[in-house]
Amino acid sequence: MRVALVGNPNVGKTTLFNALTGAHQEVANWPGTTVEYIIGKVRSGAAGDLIELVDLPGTYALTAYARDELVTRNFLLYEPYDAVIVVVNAASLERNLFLALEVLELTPRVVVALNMVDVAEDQGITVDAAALSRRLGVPVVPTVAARGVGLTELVAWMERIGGREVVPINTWVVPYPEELREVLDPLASQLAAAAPGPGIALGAGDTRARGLTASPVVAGAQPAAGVGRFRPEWMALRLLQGDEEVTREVRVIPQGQAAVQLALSCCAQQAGVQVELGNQALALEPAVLERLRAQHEEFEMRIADAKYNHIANLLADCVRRDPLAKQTFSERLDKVLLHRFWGYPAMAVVFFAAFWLSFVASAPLSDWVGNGMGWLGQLVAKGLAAVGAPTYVQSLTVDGVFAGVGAVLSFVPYMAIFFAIYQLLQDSGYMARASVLVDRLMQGIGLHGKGFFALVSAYGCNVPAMAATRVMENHRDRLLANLVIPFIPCNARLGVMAVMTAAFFPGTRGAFVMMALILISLGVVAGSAMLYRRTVLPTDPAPLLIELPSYHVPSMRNILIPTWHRVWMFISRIWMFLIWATLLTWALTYFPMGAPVGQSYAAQVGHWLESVGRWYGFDWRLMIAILFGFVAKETTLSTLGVLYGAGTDGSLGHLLTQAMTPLVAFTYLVVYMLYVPCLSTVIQMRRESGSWRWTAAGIIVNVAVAFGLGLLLERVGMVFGLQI
Amino acid sequence: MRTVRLSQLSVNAEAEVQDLAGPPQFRNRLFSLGITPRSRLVLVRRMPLGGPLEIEVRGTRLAIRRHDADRVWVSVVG
Repeated sequence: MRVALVGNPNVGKTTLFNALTGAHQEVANWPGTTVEYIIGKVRSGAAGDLIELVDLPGTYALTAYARDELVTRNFLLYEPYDAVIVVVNAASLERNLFLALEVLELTPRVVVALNMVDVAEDQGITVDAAALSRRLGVPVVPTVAARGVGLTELVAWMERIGGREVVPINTWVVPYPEELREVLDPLASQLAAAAPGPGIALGAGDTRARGLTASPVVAGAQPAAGVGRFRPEWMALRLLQGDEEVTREVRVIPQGQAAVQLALSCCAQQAGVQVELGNQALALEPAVLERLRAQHEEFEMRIADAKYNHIANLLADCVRRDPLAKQTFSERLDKVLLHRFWGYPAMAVVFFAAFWLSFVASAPLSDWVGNGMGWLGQLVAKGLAAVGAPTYVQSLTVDGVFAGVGAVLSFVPYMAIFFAIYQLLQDSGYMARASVLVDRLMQGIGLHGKGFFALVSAYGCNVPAMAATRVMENHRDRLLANLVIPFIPCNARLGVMAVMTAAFFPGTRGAFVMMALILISLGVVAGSAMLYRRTVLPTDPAPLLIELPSYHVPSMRNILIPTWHRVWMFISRIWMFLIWATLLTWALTYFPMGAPVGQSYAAQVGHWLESVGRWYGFDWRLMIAILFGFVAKETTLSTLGVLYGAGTDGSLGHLLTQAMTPLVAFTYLVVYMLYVPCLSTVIQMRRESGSWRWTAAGIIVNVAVAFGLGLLLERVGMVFGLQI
Repeated sequence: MRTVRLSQLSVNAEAEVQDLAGPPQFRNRLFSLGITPRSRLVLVRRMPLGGPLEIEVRGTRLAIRRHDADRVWVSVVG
């Protein structure tokens, strides 16, 4: 049995999912998108069989606009399922029931989970679930997902609804007003005549990979809901609202053309347009089409209006509201956190704490992991030496395999802490508010307010920062954020920059140099974002229309489960690349066998690259460090150490100051800060952008800007005879 | 009854939505968030520097950009 879980964002849908499924979950990606969905198993008692629960992205309606919403809609339209649980927030039923009605119009196999009844009661809102259930014609189960209240009853209803034939009570779920019915009724009967039988099949000839299962629905068995069979009433509504996808698909079924024409002529009549609708209805003049589209929208608004009227009637009968004297907790907190002045320092404190925990407090953990791997490697090497394995095998083991595994694993501590905090900020309701606070500033450089956290977190690590861009619904907004994130120096780059700055610019000058570097990167981020907006992504950021949910403390389980999923997905994606890259680096520096570093293949590549480096005053060692830094920026210092023949005694700084002038060093820092971040980032960028072409373009721009700006600085510095 | 843009409403004022302009995608989003003609809303606060507005509508709090709020026409109640 398969049950879909839908609901508005911030209604505790995922809490309910976690409470029902426990650890029995797997994350999957919707084909061709970055949208994730999660499947879990419910261990139900009574029927003894397993219920497969699918957690669909939160959505406000089933119209097909935002990407995440499209996933939910496509699932409900075309995938087989036996029941749908619509999770609604008892404290804001008026808005939440809108989605419930949209789902009810699609399928009668619905169980409503009336969640957060405790929060509602604290706000003086009492919902009569039995009365609501009678009015809606489907079971309504009061739940408190966070404390496991009502789950047994919910599972029992899932089995009952999913396990047998369900007869819809009303033909029209919502009592639409007379003037809408005059249009809808003939349309529905036309559609019903077009395809007799239980619902009308759409998308039959569709070969798009739509999702979860390739297995066809067994013929003859009780037809599952979804799978592209629809009630004529639902289709009539969609046609009248000008739903392009449904219109396109109705057109291809037998006699569907007639229904589409009927819907169009209704629109034409209402809009007062005189048109002859032949088979070429699409070949109408643009001006006429414009008016028809406006009429579709008018219908859409009237249908939405009728739904809200119906909801108002339902609530009048089923909800009691006691006036509250005191302000809610969220209102009092927002007085500070959204204050026109204090809101900003408060945000700075929250974000600083978040990043300090993620990237500073986790550093010792990463070191332990790295050292632990190094120690293990030495142990294995000793073992190999004892059995008489050749030196290159020992070196391969220590500097290749174990270094590679260590590079992968050292990501884990700060990834885990970062994602946990990210989830905490999201779930608690603060992230939405932070986005609102900075939206105006972000808009100034063409970015979306929701991208702010991602950009700031890029100072920690670019990879999770790119994952954090997913909060933006609009693909272009996300892409833009992904393109500029690599210009932000991450923890590893900042570390290398700090060491080199300290060596070349001791004392207070160092602080100014670091400041200058950060300002340069901010300038490049802002400049490139504006340039991308003007040229290849010429749209304004998507509208910011977000809910500011009540604050709440998320449960440990709700933090840990998604954190584990994200860390695991990162590791499973990256480990192969990192290990191969580490092995390649090792081979280039180790071979030809027995040669000193200065004659290794790496050095030969470096000498070849020096022809570029000469423009900047970089020698082959610096070029090699840039090249190998691509694998992982953390290794840059150790690479330089090996190439300059420095020991572990901290003599690298001294050796570097002898090898170049401060101006060259500064140029190197700028180039190093801005050029392609690292392999992991590139792979993450490919994943988030969904395109190798954008990824390649982003990298090329990175390298070009880094070396271009570096050259400019170098030349200008030379002209002014700058010695910094 | 005075009809103004949502962006011109004063803080704590209650208003009734009269009309929605803008592209279909935007209007549709407003509908599904509960902003429909004749719905009641309250302007809760304005973010500084011309930032978004916070409004309360149908029992939930929403943030909307000032530029987008220009497309929502409301009439002040009371």
